[in-house]
Amino acid sequence: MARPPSDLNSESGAGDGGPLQPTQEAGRPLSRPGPRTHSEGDQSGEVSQPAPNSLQGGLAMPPSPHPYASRFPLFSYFSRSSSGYYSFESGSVSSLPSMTDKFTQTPSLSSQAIRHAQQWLAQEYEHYQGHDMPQASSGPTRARRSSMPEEMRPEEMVAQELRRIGDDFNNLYFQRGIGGRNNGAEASRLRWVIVFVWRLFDILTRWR
Amino acid sequence: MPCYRKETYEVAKGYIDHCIGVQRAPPSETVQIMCSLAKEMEKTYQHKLNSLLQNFISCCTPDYGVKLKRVMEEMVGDGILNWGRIVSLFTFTGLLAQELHSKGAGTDCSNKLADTIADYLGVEKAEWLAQNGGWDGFSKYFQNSKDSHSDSSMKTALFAAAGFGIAGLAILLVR
Repeated sequence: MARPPSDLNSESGAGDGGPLQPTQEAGRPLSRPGPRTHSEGDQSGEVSQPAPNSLQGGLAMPPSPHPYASRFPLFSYFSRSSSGYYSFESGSVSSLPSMTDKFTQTPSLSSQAIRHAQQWLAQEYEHYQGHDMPQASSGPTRARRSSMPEEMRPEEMVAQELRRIGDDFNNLYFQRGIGGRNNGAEASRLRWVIVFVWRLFDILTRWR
Repeated sequence: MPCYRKETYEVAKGYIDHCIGVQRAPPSETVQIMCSLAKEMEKTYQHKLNSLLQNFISCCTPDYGVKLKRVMEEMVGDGILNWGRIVSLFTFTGLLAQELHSKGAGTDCSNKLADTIADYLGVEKAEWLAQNGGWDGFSKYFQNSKDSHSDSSMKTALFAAAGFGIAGLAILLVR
């Protein structure tokens, strides 16, 4: 059953590394034909052991996805599908229950990337359009987003531009004030006029 | 603690009324200077200010008083306030009042904008205003700059005229 993305977000805790939960696939036969969910497991000898939380459709990770993950914390922030596609957003894309119900073959890397982008755009669009729409989500991602002061953004931008304009204007008038009180400028102008007249007179006397 | 709320409200109200075309008693010297400076700023930064205004109006809730206060707080968020920033704030507020007035907003809206400016500048930034001579200091600051600038321009013109006059005399003498 398709579920709203916000529900997906609420189900997958941050940093858990495994976007799908075993409850989504409870009751399904583990021997259903489908791609192996961790082909890299061949290298570590895990391939022959059925994963207890094995998920369908090839868009999931086992609870212990890879030996690297336990050693490198970086991997715990990735969602990773069986075709090798990584996503930083743990709950947004790779955990697509509807896809896992429909497809039995692992989508290609490029198609997963495209779906990832579509899903992300859909979520962003929903977020911007539906501020006052009732949302079924109360998950951590939703709470984090609603706490962001997004309504401050245009005001901050306006304030920063007004600050810049005001500073430019202030500097202009400050320099005018300084320049008007500067006697050195007047002396240089007088010197320029004297030199100009002297040169002109000199040229005329030579021409004559 | 000094309080400039009343003076600030008078300047803001006078300037906003001038922007939306409401005739009042002859504006004070401070309002006249503010109008002159704002006009100059509008001319210089016309496109940028219009873009900011549309962005400001279209993006958020219609409680413009609250939004304007956030803008003011953000403007001085770096801890610096100067007369140029205050002029840019007034210029923007005047454009906002014009826009709202053209869309049918009543005088309550412009009064609220003036109140917002007065509450922030006249109360929360009263200390800065006191240090800079209040609104009389504003008038002096820009009036002196304008006078010195016009004096400087006049002197340049006089020097040029004198130079050409001397050159002309020299030519006549040589002939």
